[in-house]
Amino acid sequence: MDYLPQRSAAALGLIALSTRLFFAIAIDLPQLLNAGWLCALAACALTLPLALCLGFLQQRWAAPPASKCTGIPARIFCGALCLFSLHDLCCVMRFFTLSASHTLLEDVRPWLLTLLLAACALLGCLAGVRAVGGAARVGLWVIGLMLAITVLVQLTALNPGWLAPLLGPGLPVLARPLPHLAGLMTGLTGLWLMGDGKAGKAFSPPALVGYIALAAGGLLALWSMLAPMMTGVPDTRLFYFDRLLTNGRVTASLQLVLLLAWYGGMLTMMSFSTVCSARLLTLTVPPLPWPWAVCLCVLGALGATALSLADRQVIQWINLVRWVLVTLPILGASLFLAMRRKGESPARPEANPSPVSPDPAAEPARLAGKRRPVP
Amino acid sequence: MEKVPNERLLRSALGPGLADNVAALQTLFNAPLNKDLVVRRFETCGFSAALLYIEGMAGSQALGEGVLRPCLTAPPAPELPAQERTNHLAQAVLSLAGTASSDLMSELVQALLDGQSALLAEGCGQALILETRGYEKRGVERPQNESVVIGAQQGFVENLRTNITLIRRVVRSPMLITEMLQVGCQIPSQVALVYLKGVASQPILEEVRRRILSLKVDYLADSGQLQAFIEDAPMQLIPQMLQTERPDRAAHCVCDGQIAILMDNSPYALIAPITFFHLIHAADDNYLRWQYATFTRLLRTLGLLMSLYLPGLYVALTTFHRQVIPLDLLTSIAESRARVPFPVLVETLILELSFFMINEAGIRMSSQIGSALGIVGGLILGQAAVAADVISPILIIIVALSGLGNYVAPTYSLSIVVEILRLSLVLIAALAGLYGIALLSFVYLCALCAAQSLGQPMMAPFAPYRPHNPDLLLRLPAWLQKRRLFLASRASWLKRWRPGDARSWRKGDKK
Amino acid sequence: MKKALAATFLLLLCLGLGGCGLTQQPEHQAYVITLGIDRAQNGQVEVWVQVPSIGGGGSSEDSGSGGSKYEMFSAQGADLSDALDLLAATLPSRLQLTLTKSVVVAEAVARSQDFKHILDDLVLSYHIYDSAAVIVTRGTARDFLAAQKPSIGIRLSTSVMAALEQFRQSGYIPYNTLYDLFSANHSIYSDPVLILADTGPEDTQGQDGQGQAPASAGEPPSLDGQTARNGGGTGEDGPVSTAQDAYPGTLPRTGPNLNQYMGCALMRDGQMVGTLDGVSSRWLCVLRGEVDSVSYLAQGQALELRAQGAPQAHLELGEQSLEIQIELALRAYPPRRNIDLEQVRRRVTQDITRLFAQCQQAGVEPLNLAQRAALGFPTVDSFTAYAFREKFCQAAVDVSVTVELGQE
Repeated sequence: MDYLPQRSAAALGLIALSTRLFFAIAIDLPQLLNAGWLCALAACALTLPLALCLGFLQQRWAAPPASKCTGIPARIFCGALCLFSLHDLCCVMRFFTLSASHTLLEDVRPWLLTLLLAACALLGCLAGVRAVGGAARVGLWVIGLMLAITVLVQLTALNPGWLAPLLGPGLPVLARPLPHLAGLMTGLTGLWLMGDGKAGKAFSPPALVGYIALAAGGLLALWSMLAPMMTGVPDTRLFYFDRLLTNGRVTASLQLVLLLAWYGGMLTMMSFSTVCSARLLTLTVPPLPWPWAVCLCVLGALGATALSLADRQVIQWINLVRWVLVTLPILGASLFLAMRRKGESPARPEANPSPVSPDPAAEPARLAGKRRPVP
Repeated sequence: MEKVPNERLLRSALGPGLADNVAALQTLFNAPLNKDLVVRRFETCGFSAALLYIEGMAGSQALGEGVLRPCLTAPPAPELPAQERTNHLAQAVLSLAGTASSDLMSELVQALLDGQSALLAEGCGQALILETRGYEKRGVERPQNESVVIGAQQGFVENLRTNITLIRRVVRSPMLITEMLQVGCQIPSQVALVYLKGVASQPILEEVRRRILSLKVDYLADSGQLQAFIEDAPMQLIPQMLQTERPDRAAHCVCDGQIAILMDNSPYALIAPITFFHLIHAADDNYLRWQYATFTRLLRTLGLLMSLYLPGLYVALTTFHRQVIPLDLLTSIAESRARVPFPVLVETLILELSFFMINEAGIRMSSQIGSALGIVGGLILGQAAVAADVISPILIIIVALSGLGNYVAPTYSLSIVVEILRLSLVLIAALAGLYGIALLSFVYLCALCAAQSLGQPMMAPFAPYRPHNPDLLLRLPAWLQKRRLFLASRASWLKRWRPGDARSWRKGDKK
Repeated sequence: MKKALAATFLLLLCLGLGGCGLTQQPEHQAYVITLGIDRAQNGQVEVWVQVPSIGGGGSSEDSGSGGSKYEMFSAQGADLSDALDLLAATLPSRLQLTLTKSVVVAEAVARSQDFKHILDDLVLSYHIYDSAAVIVTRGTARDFLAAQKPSIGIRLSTSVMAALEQFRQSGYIPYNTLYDLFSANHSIYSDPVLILADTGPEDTQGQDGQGQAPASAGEPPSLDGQTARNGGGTGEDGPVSTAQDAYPGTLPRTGPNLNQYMGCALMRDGQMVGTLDGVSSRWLCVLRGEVDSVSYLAQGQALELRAQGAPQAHLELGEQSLEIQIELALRAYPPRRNIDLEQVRRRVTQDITRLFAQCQQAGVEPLNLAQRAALGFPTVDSFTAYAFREKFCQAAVDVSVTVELGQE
């Protein structure tokens, strides 16, 4: 089993989850008007407890989390996570192909675009989790550069006045979607399960949530500055997606950069969902080889795109359930481990290691244990 | 499996009889049918001897001055035991630098095929293998395919010993090891592993050795073939070893902990393990000032990207995403295509394939008519095709620019990879526009991130991260590059810089 | 095995995808440069498009060859979508609205109640990219498109954009795009303004209806009666600026391009309700921050007035009423130094006050003051409940202008 190195995990999580959060608010929550960025920050704040627990577990175990998922309860949990990831994958595929179809590919049949996407997911993710993580690291630079170009070119078109009134539709409307957005962010758990478990600065779940808040919130704020708060407009995904890509103020040539940045984000989201669901499937059903897991997940998501699982209401309901079903067990596990650690006797031998090893023959073994493995 | 002819004779040992030994060797070499084997019988020190060599492989001066003259003028040694005769010749008579003894037919045969000579004595079961190589070989010339402006101007040749010497002249350390291996069960070829002991990673070294020694092939002609047998994924487009014809580059890689694999009769060294960044770095990046090196490296990267994506982008934008092209340009394109009978895709493919053929013809064509290629390519294919409304002039510019971008690739393998990928991107662009280009690029990127070179990830040290010098895309000043390459052994005795300031002379100035 | 399956799958896919079709090729598209919307005699919506004709063997957009190389097509329908569908069905090439530079709307259409629906239809068709400029013409869109000619040596599309950019920089027309118009129509903030234009007559004699020579379009308004160009009435400090007459279609100028761009069309709830002349438009653009310098004629000198920083607007958001204080600091750069700055200040104040009066009379707020006011409210509901536009129309406006002499 290959694990995701820390920096690759951070890059993959940052792009995939920021994009997912951005799209969930910009495209699927039009009622937030131009205050979606506040919602993004709040959703990340709501995810912090989960992230802190994941960080705690990472510190505690100091081993790949996947290696701890051998018991039946853990496998059931992984199975549930796998289903949620599959749903994510299905939604991303639908978003992607419908939006690709919108951008002047209307001559190409949408279901064929979906098949092409599925083939890309299959071929790309068969290469393994590390490959996808590596691609995300490259993507972070490329997408970042494109977004920077986009923002620079549109700098004069940004109107901060359009963020007012600051609370937009009001606190109740802003607060209502928070649980489902936090449910989206539970994808962090899948990312953590794919990691190599090394506790370090490069991949810290709470820090990652902070970066996602900055990225998604920042992009949403910038996007909100490009058009005034509007009422009486269609609340269809198509309208908001079109608004995202065109916005009407800049030269259409900039669309090339925007399109590439958007494709990059969507591909990263898709690859994250694919490898996450495939890895969770292998944890749920351990004898399943990786290529089979990827094939099953892609085909499953492909089949699910024919159903209405990517509708707004369905997504919101599923993410709400997801938030509860993922956060509670992780919180529970962390509390249990924390209390167990507190409850252990302070006089136990492990708590009081002797400074001098009693057995000189054990010295090389002790040193060997400290030596970092050669990559 | 078919057996080698005279296999039993080949595996036998020498006997005491001179005539029998000579007859055995003649049988093995199919003399008198094979006229290459020369047998020179003579008397020396009171006994009979025979000198055998392959005509053209052994040098006549070494044979005459180093072997025959001393032997013929040597005083007799009547008390010399028969078994000591060859030893006596080696120690007291011959004036050659290199001698070895052997009693195996197979070793004698191999030595004769290598250009050495065999000296047999009557009554002695040991033969002398004499270093008399004198075959014609190409001199050290400028590298043909890795030119630099500033830097050494020497390239590898076909002779293995010369190539090893060229590296040894750069890496003057007793820790530079040349490990000789043989590949080819029936027709063996010499392979040399060149590395710095204590710098090259031991597991990687063992892995290379294991792969080469486990080869079960009858014959390997070139290092390119060897690469196909020992690289991690030969079905992948991206090469997992670097082929270089520059000794200075090979030496630099060896000092970085990598292993150079040289093969006899191959003017290229294989360097492994490598990363993707080694494929886009040029040899003279190390010799130029950091600003120039950074600039040229960025230019090279841009050229490669342009070569890869420009035709595909042209097809995608003109077919699907016209709104991103300024209307003036789009109208020009439309007008230039008004009488072209082919769709954009077909037009592009025609021109790309013509360009590839011109490239290939330029390599194969003899030099006498090489200049005609410019006329054929430029005037006939370009100008006439436009005049006949077969292709549009804008596309010629696109293909020319992408071809130019291809030529900046510092390694030939990489340029071929880019050409192949470019075609695939053009096809997918015609089918699904930018969407298709993005999807295919993602698949290629994943494949690149999954690629390994001797078990080491090729996109390292970027993905996965490894501590590295600021020398990936940008080449920052040399004194900032303090780390050894992550591919080297952790306990490497060779550091980039000693602890302290690499430019410590500045402290003297400040005082 | 798996990779082989995936590769076969991909190949099969490729059979179904398209991109090599004839209609996909760039030379088989009709690239619309300008889209015109008229009201036909029978009350239907009439759509006009101006497209370059793509021919082999040379540029079709060169105006030097004599004779137009642009073609115009039209279709009528019950609404815009209907008309566009019919147009697309009858054009020999595929209609491409994605590169449209401008949308010209006849004033009759702009003043009708269904203009908002026409606009929404256009934007929500997702076929037109929203950076096209929207122009209201006082005549018909057909005449406007027919009179649209490229400048010598430049393509028509470039000519149109260059001309609009030039006029925007001078401040005589506002900066707007189709998306600006659409979003402003639906926004909770200010009302949009459109570019006002018209097609001039073939021979413009330079005489206005009052028998006096009006100011030409590019010349600044005069402040005193000492030049032959003055006329049109007097104000407190001398003759009123003759640029009040500066509406498109009547400008005394000549040139190959008969189309004239000058002034703004005021919009409220998606319907045109008024116009602003050249002078008012310039101050509108200054107050909106779209231009920061205007040229002004004072005492026979053509001076430049530059805004020092953004105009300050202070809003007193009372429960029953609204008070607006506008502060504008200008720096004057006259060619000669003996200039009466106080007179300049009074004229500018008068012009801005007149602008506000015109807007209040039309019942629109195009000065982007609403979004400043929105800062004082926590939610959209509380802001819309305040009914800013209604209060604006009744607001007391205090304009304070300072003019200093600029140092070169």
